[in-house]
Amino acid sequence: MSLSRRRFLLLASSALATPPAAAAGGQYLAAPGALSAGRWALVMDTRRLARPELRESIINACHAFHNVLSRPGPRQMAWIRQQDFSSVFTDQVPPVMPAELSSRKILILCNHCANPPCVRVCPTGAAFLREDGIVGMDFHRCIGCRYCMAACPFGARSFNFEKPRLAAVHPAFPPRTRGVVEKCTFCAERLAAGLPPLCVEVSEGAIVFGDLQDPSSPVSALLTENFSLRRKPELGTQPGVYYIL
Amino acid sequence: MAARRPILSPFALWLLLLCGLAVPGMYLLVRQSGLDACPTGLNNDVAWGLYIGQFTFLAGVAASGVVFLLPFHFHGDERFRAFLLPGEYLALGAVIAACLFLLADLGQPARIWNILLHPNPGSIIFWDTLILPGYVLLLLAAARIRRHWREYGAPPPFWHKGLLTLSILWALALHTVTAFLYAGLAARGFWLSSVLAARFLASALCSGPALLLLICFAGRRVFRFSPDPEAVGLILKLIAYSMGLNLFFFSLNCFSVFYSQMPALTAPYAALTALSGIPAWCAGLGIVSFLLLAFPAGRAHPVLMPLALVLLLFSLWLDKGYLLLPGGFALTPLGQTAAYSPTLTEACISLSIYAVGAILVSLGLLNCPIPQPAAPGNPDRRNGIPERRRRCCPGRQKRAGQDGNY
Repeated sequence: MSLSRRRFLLLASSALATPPAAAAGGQYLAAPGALSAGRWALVMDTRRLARPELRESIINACHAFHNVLSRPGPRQMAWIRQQDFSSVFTDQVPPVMPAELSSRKILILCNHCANPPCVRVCPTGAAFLREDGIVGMDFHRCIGCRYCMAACPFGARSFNFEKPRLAAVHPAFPPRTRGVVEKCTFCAERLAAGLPPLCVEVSEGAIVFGDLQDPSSPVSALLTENFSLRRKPELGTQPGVYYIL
Repeated sequence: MAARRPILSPFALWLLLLCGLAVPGMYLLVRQSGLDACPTGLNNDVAWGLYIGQFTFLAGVAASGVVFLLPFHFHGDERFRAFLLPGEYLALGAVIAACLFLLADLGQPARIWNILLHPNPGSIIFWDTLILPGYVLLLLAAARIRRHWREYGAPPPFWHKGLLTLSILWALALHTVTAFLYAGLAARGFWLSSVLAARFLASALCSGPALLLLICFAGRRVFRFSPDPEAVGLILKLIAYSMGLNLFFFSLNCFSVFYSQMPALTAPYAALTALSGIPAWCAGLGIVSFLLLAFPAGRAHPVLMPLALVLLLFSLWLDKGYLLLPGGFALTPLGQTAAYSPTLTEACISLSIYAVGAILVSLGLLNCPIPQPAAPGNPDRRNGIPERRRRCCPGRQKRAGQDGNY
């Protein structure tokens, strides 16, 4: 069969116009014993996180569990890290404030926003919003365009500029490949197994995790008793991480 | 005794030079996706750099390549005929180079089909992925029609004006979408401006024609191209007006930023200017080139005019290709200043992608003879096919003689 050029162009352009076949929608079922919530939230009682050793142990536990290569430098990977008050709450720093507070180190991680800009800009849906409020990450779908890093107002995302070379690999959470973006996932895989996020577990009670829509949950109780701050609320991303100062 | 012909024509030397530039960079690019330590100046604070900057600049050049379709096809202005094909080939080379820059920037280029397999219409990159190849197809179709028309004297199909209209709208959409890539991010105050898209279009409308004129001047011998001086004058005016608009839009943005004094808007400017003096140079060069082109004396001057075009292109390249991206990332989400300087590898790869684009443009221009205006006293307006080719290709000469179009 001979294909005239005109016909080829016609076919090629119509092929381009055909909507790509989306993957047939299946349904995910929660594992028995999995923790579930209407809206997961994390409350950080920074008063109880004053000890540097405690913060270090939280960061190290998270990074060791998730195989995050945390090497100092501008390409440092971090799912959770500590920063000064003025860096964390950039727009909420009074000119005069308690010295203890201004020098207090605060743990920061992905805010799991209810209206996440990273999910909005991701061209492949590798960053996605779950119904329980967790901003998930599909490391195998990510094409490494880093648009999410440009869109995230919290600097919560890290890019694997190089192949992670880890001294010891924790087998439960495979290391990512080079060229994809990664971040905290609220330990979604642990929640599925009925366990709280690792940072919560090792925080000696300073970090509380729970369902914000459940009035009897520990996070709701803590937030009704204490005034809390969220990072950059004016941007409308509705972070799910709350800080008690 | 006749002078000996050089072994290689200047054009062949030019192509060889471009290949010499393209090959090492392409080698580095292939190695980059296999190397562990990615040799770019990027980091977790500066997510995008030189590649995306070049993509933005080239998207502008590509968008303005079809600007002459408008006066020629829709207002019947014959003076722009000579610029149609070079413009389209420039657009084609630029858009392909832009695609290469996007590919070079991906962490996992092999997964690019995920954009179509799992599309997210809310993502501007998704629209870019549709618009860029679509533009290539439109340009190829337009060039095909034009060649058919020229070579066989066949009348253009009835839908060709629709196609041309579509390609003009497509070009505008292409660059608007490029601006939307930046202008919708609440996290980046430097880009968060509705005037950005308008400024992009204005700067594109001067960068493409300026590059085209410079190519025409530089390749006058090779392509035997002598553009209509009247058309050149009109294009120079178009460039001056567009650059004026670009500067005006920039000042509009500056007013909102610095009169409101909102830290989220002013801090990125402060961070960028603290890092280097290049922004001031960029603005200065832009204003100087605009002033040179704004006055008739400058536009008519044989030396100042090309110089102004070079300065203008350089300032536009600094603006979109070099400062736009570091500007957006100069202030980190944690309020610190982040510096970015491209590595040698990044520069080599960028240069080689530009060389690939230049090869495409050069071959396109050589392949498509450009009509020359009739010399005074010479009624023959045959297509401007170089003498050499007319001699060695009698069939083509015959066909070409059938009509004087294209």
